[in-house]
Amino acid sequence: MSSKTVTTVSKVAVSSTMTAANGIYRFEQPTSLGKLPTELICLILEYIPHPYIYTLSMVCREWRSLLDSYFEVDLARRSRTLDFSDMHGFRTYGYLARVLENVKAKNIEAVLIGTGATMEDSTAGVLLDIQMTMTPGQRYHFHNADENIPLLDKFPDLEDRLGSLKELSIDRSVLDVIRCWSHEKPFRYFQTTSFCRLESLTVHLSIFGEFVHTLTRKLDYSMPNLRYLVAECGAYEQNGLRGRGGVLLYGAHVSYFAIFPALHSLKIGARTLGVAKPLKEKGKPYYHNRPAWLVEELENLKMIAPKLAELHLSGVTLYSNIFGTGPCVYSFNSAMKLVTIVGCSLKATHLSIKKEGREQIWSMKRERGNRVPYRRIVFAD
Amino acid sequence: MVKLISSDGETFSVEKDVAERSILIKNMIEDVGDSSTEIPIPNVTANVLKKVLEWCEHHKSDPAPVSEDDNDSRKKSTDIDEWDQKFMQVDQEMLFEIILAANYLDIKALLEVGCKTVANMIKGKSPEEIRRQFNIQMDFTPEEEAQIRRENEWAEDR
Repeated sequence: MSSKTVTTVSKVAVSSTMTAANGIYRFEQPTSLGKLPTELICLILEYIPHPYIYTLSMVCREWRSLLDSYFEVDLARRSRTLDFSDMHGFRTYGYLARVLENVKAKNIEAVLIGTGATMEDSTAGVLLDIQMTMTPGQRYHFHNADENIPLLDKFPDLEDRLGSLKELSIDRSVLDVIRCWSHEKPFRYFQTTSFCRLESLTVHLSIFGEFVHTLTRKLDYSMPNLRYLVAECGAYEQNGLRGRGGVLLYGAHVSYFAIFPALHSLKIGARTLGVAKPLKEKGKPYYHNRPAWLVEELENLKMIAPKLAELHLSGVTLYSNIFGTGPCVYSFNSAMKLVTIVGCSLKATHLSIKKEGREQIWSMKRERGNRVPYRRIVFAD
Repeated sequence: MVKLISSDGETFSVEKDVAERSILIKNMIEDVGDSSTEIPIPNVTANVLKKVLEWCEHHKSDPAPVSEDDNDSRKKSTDIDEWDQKFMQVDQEMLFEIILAANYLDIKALLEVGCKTVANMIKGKSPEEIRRQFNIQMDFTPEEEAQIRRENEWAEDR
């Protein structure tokens, strides 16, 4: 191969072909972002907080199309990085879309969006509450989305509990459970960075936002039979990421944030909102950081309340998870604060709020093979 | 010195440790076993290769890039080194060419800088500002725009 010139690179000067006075460069040509392979676009989008990414879809048709590709690739990639490879189903938005189409087709009355760990006690409690509100004699069916729900061995408790619901299956009402994210790995993914608290919330929002975005974008959601939309992610807090990454996480609030878009677009009067749970760190009691947590909780509730109020939803039911000892009372108080501000009703589901009571229940679990009746405390509604 | 031949036939003589910032080139040199052999870079034109090598020259003493497993920690931060910021003050076409070249040549750190630069151009801007930034024509119908706005309403900071 013949060469035209030879350049010794170490002597090449920096060349800036276009620099505006204010340091912001502008381009005269049409965007060439679309010329990049989708993988590279995804890489760029990795550096953009998700709410901004949604903004991008409003730029033009080309970018909207790019975003669609991004969401497909991003979730597929994330599914891989989260090591979902050993699970069938749950691969892409396409999968979620199919599940949700199924929800619609079967006139499902309740959708539960949860994460791995939250599909345990508290979720089962909510399920039982839903069950109780069904019309007496109405057949009740637990549908597991064509066996596609990935279940981890570490959550046998859930299986047991859902199993008991399965036995009640019958007729038209269908309860569908969608496991959204296994919470541990995505959080490991995020927790190493040094966001401020609000950014952490954004990240939380983005996780569930992605899911709900699918829900609203890919399907025509007019599901008059859908009476319950349950979002649960309180257990994020339980994972104690504070201890590992110094990042404060407020999973309970994410429940509210995550559900906003769904409430916006579904407009079906979905009635159930998240859980409130105190932080927990390994080796420490729930309440060791109670004051700080409470302050933050209330601050966040102030942010959340107006947004909920904007939705003009009547009959919103907030499930507060009174599970454990002392601090749950604070959690409950926070929930009550929200109830007061927004004017929604509150229903608390739960086990015991006293340590001895909890131990008693565990003892009953051992004796009765985990079939322990919930002690239900209904505060309102 | 290593000789690299761009797609349009221009030859660049660079120090081996500079060239080896590119994993692709490093592997090629190892495969050939003779660093004096001319190495063709068929996907990168001379003007882009010149820029890329300029970056490699400046960063030749940087520590080795982190492994894939550590990549998570770099995500979300869009901080860019001052020199890199100036380096990336190029026209849009060149910016995307650099990103493509970094990807092809497997220079992770440069790819990262390029992606961050584009992300910073986008982040926090309204759709209209982004259109101005990239000189994009808005081609949605009013109905489509209203629909999209409704879909994204939840993410807006109100």
